Amino acid sequence: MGLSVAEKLSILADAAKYDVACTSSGIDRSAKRGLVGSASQAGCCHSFTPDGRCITLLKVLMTNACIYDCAYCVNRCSNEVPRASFAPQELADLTMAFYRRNYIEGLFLSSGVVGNPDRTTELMVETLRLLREEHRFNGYIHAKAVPGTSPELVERLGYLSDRLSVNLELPSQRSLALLAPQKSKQAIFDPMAQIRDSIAQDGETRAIGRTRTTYYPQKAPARKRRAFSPAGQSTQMIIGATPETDLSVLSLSAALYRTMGLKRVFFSAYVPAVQDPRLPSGVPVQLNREHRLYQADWLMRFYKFDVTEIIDGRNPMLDLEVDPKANWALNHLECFPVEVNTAPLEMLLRVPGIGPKGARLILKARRTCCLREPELRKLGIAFKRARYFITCNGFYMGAGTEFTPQALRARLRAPIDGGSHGARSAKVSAGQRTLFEVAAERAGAEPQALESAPLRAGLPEARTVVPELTRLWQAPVAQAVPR
Amino acid sequence: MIPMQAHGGFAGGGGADGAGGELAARKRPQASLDAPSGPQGAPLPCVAYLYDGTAEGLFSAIFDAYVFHEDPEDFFCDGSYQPRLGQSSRVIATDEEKALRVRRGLVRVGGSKVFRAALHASLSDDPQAGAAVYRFVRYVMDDLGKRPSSARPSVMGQLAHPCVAPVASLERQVLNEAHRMKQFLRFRQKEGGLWVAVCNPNANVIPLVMDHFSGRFNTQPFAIYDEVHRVVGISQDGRWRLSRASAEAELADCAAEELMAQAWCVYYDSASIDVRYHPELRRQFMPMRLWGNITEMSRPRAHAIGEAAMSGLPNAAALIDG
Ligand code: SF4
Repeated sequence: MGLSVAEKLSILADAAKYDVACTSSGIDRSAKRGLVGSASQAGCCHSFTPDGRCITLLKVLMTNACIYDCAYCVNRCSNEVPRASFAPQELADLTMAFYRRNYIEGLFLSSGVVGNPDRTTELMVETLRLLREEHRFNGYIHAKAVPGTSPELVERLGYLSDRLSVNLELPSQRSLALLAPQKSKQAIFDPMAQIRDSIAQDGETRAIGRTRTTYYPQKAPARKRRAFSPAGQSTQMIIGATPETDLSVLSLSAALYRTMGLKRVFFSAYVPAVQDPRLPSGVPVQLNREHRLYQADWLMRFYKFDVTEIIDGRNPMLDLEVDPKANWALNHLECFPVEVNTAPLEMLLRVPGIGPKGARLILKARRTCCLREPELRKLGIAFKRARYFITCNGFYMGAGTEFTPQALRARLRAPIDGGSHGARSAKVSAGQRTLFEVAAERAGAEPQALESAPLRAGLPEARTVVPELTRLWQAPVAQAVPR
Repeated sequence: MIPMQAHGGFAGGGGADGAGGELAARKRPQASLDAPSGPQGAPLPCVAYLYDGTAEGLFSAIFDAYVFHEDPEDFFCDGSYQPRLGQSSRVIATDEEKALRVRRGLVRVGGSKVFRAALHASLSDDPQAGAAVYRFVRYVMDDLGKRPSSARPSVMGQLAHPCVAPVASLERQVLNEAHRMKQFLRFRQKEGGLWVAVCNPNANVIPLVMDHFSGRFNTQPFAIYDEVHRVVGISQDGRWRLSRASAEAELADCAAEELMAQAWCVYYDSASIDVRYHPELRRQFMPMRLWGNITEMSRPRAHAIGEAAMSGLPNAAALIDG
């Protein structure tokens, strides 16, 4: 039953593309003699899709034949799509061929569930083993751990890959029960906790190995073992398929960072790919909401914001008009303006328009000279935004605008125009209206293509924007916070 | 004309430098033979230096400016020279020794970061790059070099200084372009096992990416050909060298190459999510000027395969054994 590799690739890449996590970052590994490949801390994008998202890894499924029936997923067993699966050898060879051509930075391997979770993971482990041992591949590998896999197999997977992730799928247990009845909170958190513990344990043994405890010359271990998932673990959840508010999404992700030691939590705006009565239909893809969530996530990870500062029960959704940082500043005008020439780092970080890099540059530059507008512009500060919140040497820079939340809000209003929300992660698209205009144009231009691709089904309906429907969905939902 | 002591900042430092003064003195009459105008041995008041376009060439030229006691207005690559009114010119012979002396001087005064900034900036295609690097070296050596090391400000910290700013921004451009090459270089396997990538960067960045690729691909032999600067980097067994090239060697692709390129295009096409279509964003990350050498952007589309796979197949759960 010969599907060619290209045909399989087409099916299995298409099925994997809704997984937004696509970074090759988090680990620096220099090249070694005899091994092929290296990895860099910042990651490296090798191409960009027509929607402007970066392609850095070969992101495919082992197979898209799945015994589960998750409502939102194109691969669910009740969906009529062509099915295919890679043989481990085939996929390992393909990965190497792409890597050697500098198409990719490594492999991102996920899978539908064939037979049972263990059998699926065995196939993945075999692929990674071939890559690491036979091809001597030293590049980046991100593997998905399928919920319900036995701990031994997760262990083996971890030693072969650089990053592991277990998908949270949906932001609450109730939604999970509704849309992915075969998965449970426990089945997801168990491997997550196991991965967290293994990473910590592995780190400790390595540290002990490095410290000398005796005066005897140390014998190096016979064969160096790979580290356990050295770039940590991440997870992703779908936003907009279920009624959770931004408040519960962000509280959940903050809890995950805290308790599970995650490196990243990815959000993926729900894209209608299948029809199901349990799913919202006719609701626009919430790209702007996704964008704001990433901004909020960014604030928590790099600006030392606490969730409670970004969002609270009174406004459980992030403001779509101004970004969360500006929003905080507008609500805390009593802290501003700050004097750039003396303010401490924490305060500089809170000024809209000043990023972590800009703040550090300011600290450095102000040692030698007094900072005014031209200097700040040279340091790469977004002066247009920052001016309303700073004084330079005692002079308020935002003169001409009233120092009230309303007036400043008008100044800071920023339509989301496809800016970046995460160094290399999924980039958002333009505002929704134009987006659907584009989609409609395309739908009109190539009706045949639309029919032949089942994934694009549901696009025409998406043109009718029904905001009421979203609100209807927003019933209070029990918050799922891991133990 | 600036007053200066003989061979200004580059004396001192390494042991071999003691002979530097004499060497320069001996060389002077001979060197000025190259100069088409100006009295023998006397510094030319209004002069452009012509070098061969390499970093070594530029640093040799900067060294010679000290030797000749001149303050050249322009530094040009041989080919691109158009004299200004009343300007004379000198053709500078590239001399690795001199370039190394400049490096030693810069590292002594400002540290290796300063040298690297000058080196990176010198790889830029900007016609003003040569002069900018020269001004920068002058500033570091003549101005900072005279102060005691404790009183020297950090050079690269002075982003607003008129001599530092141009070099800093040139360096940033060059490093960005080097990063783009790491991203978008595409190798093709040739008959006989050599891997070849062709690129068209806007700066001479091949030397900056060779370490990266050579480490990564290790024993796999490969060559990167820069069709704009006509430079080729060749790596074998994890060691690399640069050489000049006139044209890409005509090697046939190996049999699997076409298949793999097609497979990659299939992957690229299927990775896109149509409801998110945003080509401006893509152009911003992947400049159009580079598309010609990027496999997935330059090829006529092999849509056929993807489409066939999507429509023609039965619901093929049966294809999966087990
Ligand atoms: S288990 Fe994964 S692949 Fe299978 S239906 Fe659920 S989400 Fe889709």
